[in-house]
Amino acid sequence: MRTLLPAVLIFLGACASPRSTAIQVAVASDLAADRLAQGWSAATEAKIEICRATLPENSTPDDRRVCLGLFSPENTDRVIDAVEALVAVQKLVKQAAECEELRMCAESLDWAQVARDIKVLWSDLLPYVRALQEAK
Amino acid sequence: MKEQLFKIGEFFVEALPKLVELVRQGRDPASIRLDEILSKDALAALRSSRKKAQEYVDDG
Repeated sequence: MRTLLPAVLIFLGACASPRSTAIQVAVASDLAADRLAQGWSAATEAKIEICRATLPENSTPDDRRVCLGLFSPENTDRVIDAVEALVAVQKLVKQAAECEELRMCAESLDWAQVARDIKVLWSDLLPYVRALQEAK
Repeated sequence: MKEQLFKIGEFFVEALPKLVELVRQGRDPASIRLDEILSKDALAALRSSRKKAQEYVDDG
């Protein structure tokens, strides 16, 4: 545990500046996106099994789409769009953090804005997160 | 303040195993970069579940 202390201290220092806060938000966002994706994937597979068991064999594609409901391909597309945007912001944070470490940045990133952008993107995802929680 | 500390604690519970693994591999904690802790699985899992749902809608 002693060997981990420097890393822990580096991350605890994350509260100190907008830059570190944005990095911490990006990491937390990445972990949350992972949890959402895994939960969404498992719930979609469970819903497919339920629909297979309940719909008649001669069901139409429309019947099956309606049965999938929240977990239809179209809804999953909306979740993918929001997560793609999050991944893009997280990538921007990684690149900017690295470029600042190397002191090779043409201009500094507005770190506070980045943290706000991540928050806005998560507000787009919130209805799906809530729906997923309710579906469980 | 308490809520903020709780969030930091929650973050450590999630991120620490990845840090531990890297340190076990002999890495100096100070040299661990952000992109080594961030995962790349979210989109792959979503695309996979989208594909399964589409196949079910199309073929039953």
